[in-house]
Amino acid sequence: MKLTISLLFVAAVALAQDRAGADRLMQAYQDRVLTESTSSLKTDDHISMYQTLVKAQPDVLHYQNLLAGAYIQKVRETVDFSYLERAHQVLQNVLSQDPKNYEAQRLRTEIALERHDFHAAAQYSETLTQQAPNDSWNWGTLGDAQTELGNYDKAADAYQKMMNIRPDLSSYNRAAYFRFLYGDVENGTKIMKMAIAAGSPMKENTAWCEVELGKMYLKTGKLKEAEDAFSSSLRNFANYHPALSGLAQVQASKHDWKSAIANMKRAQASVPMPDYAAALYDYYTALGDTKEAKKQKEMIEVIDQVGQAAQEKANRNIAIIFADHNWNPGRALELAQNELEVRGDVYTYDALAWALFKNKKYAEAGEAMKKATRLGTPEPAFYYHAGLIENSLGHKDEARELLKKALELNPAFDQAIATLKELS
Amino acid sequence: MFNTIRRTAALAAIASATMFAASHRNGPLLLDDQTANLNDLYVFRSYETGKSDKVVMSMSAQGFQNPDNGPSYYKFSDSVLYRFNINNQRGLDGRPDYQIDFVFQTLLRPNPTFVSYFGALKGIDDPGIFLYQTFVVVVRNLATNTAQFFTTDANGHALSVAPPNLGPKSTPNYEATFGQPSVFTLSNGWRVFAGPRDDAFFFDSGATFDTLNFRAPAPILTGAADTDAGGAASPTAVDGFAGYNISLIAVEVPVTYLSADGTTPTDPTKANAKAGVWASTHRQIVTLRPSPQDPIHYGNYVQIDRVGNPLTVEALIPLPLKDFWNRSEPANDQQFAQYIGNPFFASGVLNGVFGLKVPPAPRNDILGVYVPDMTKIDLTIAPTPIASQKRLGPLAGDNAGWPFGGRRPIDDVVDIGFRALAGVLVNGFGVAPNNQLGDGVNQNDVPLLTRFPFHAAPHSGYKHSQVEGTNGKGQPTGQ
Repeated sequence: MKLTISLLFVAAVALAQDRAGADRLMQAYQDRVLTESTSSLKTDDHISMYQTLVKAQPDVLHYQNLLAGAYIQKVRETVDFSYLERAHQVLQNVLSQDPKNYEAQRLRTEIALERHDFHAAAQYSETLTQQAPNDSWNWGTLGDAQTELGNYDKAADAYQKMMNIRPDLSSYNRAAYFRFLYGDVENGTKIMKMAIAAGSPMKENTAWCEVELGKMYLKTGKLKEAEDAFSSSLRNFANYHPALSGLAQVQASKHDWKSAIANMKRAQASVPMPDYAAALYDYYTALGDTKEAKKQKEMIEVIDQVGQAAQEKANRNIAIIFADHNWNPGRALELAQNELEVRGDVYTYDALAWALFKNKKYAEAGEAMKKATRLGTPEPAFYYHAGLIENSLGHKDEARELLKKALELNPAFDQAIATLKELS
Repeated sequence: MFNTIRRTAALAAIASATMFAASHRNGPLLLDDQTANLNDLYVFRSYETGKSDKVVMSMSAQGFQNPDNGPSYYKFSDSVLYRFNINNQRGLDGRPDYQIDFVFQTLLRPNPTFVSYFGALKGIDDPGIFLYQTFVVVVRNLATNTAQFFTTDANGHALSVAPPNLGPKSTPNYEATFGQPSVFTLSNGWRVFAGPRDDAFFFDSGATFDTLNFRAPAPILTGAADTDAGGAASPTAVDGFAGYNISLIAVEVPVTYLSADGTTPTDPTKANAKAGVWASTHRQIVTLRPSPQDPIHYGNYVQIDRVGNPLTVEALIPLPLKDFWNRSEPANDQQFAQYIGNPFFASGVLNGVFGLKVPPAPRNDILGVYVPDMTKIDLTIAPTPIASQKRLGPLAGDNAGWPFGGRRPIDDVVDIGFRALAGVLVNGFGVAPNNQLGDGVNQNDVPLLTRFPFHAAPHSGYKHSQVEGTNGKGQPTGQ
């Protein structure tokens, strides 16, 4: 059996080190053994195990890297950025002792991505791809950074290299997303299913892909398939907040507000994302429960105030929420414009266009919207926003076509239905 | 009112979410790729009654399965192509001549429950098997560039994967009701099986992991402790794989299929006497961007993992080369000869730690087995009846086992491997204690079958979960 024979080498190393001194190669054996023998544990167990190892052998930098990796996985699962800070400190410690430490450099790239420092992440990844051109990981982080920066050709090249080295859950889910970005829904969903089938011992990873699949279905009006994908994600990884949110959105599309509220509240209880509060505001408003709706609005305002206090300048999610609801259009525009300094992907241009529109800057909004729709991404909201902008520019026919396109993608898009009626 | 809530606590909770609340697409990056991982490969002349003209090949995947891993249990990955590669020409150069592919498909039947299997299942076609997997077998001849596809058995029944062994209520009489009915005969007369089984690998991993803290008399087995089979070498040795299941893919083919000229070989010196086999997993490349110039959306299959002989990656290939090795072809294994011919386990552990005298590098005895890395079978060696099989195979005069007569589930590849690395196949090194090494576990925790697919029925979830007692270890499976 491949797995546990390698356990033998942990022992061999322990003995050999006393006699012949440490051998880098043999230390690497420990890595594999640890990774393989712990892959079925929960993330919290990983963290406490690696904490113990780090305490016991503080001079083994490798354990610190493993600990940092577990902290980053925890961020993925909880959006609790205090873990990112911990990971950062651990890696700083490793890199201060060994600036060339490969594993630590790889993880540093992930932290840069989580912190939305996409320029740095691209640069780190680029360097690492030169050092280790056969490590698919680095091509993945390079593609991720370039995608956020809106450099889609560079991203595609990096992702294709990642794929050619190793087709697996990581590379398939990126290829699927890329297909979707370029409007190829059929292959996007097909490849995302390949990612799910490829799987991962980390249940969250598979659940994440199922959420992505569900979102593709949701955006293209396939409510039943979306519901199945989100439900399957929840079976894989209980209480997973993006899956709960997805399920709530499916229910809201069917105007089942009570179920939608219940699921969205569970998502919110897990992670208080502003998007969840905004959705809850909408659902309560639809039900006529202005009191509960008001609470959610206040929550979003508090989130923004905290952001302002922390001197957060860019936040396209809040920009969209404010613009959607005509709350504080000035702040929406500020947040969206600043986001453009961080990244230049189609979603950022959509947020910018929408905020410009709400500030009555129609010509600029039209320009930004062109950049948002340049790939033909099947996002119903893009076409809804574009339709309203064209209407304001006096292009009624174009506006109607764009709204129809939004409804072609997602026939349950209430605002688009209402607006199209007004324009007809 | 939110504004009046004690701010500090609320803010602390929200602050971390909002700081980077503008999300980005943080796709997962894998440390481990379980579904494409292969564990062991077995190749042997069948010792089932009346089947001695057959050869069985089986591969195990996804090791250490907890039998009670409900509600979803383990399944084969729909995204993985599982392949047996066969080399019987050109003096076994590590290039495939035939390939037998297994491709799986999952059908999720309408499911009113949250579990994948429900109720007292009556057989392999029970609608209570909500997670229903089938497979296609593709038999390729690379010389003629032809392929045969088998989607059903000779009677038209779908090639279905055996369901897991849940326990006496859901899957009663497992082996008779679910195990053997999942053995299918194809229209060309071959038999195939895919599904969960007991892991036939056995090894005192716990003692070894505790810094080579072997349980006496291991690691030196003498006299009664060095049994052929049956009875533990050391009464306290523990099989770390006992009670766990693997996913097995098995195929039974005629000896004449494997021989180079299609006849039954009788002379071990002739070119048709030997064949080499390795297993591999593959996934398909997809292209990121569709373009008019390049209409191909789905490209070649890329090799993810391979297994030829036991212990290759663990004992012989340095870790930094592991991924590269897994992607490479046996035909190019000469590039690893510098590591395989000078194994650290022999020089660093057996010699360095235990002070054993081992042969000097380069170890041509090891290179002969591992380069190219395939399990080689001498088809002229008749199968040994189960009662006479020796766990040490050729080292104990039973030539129908690893490393010369293929590899059987009974073969104690750990002890054979320890001794071979200590040089017992080299003149002058077949001496004590080199020829007495062993981990102390001499046989599998449950009896192997005497018929295809030979691996024992899977441990049941019900028995594995019991609080008192054995976790199902060592208990007969399949009733």
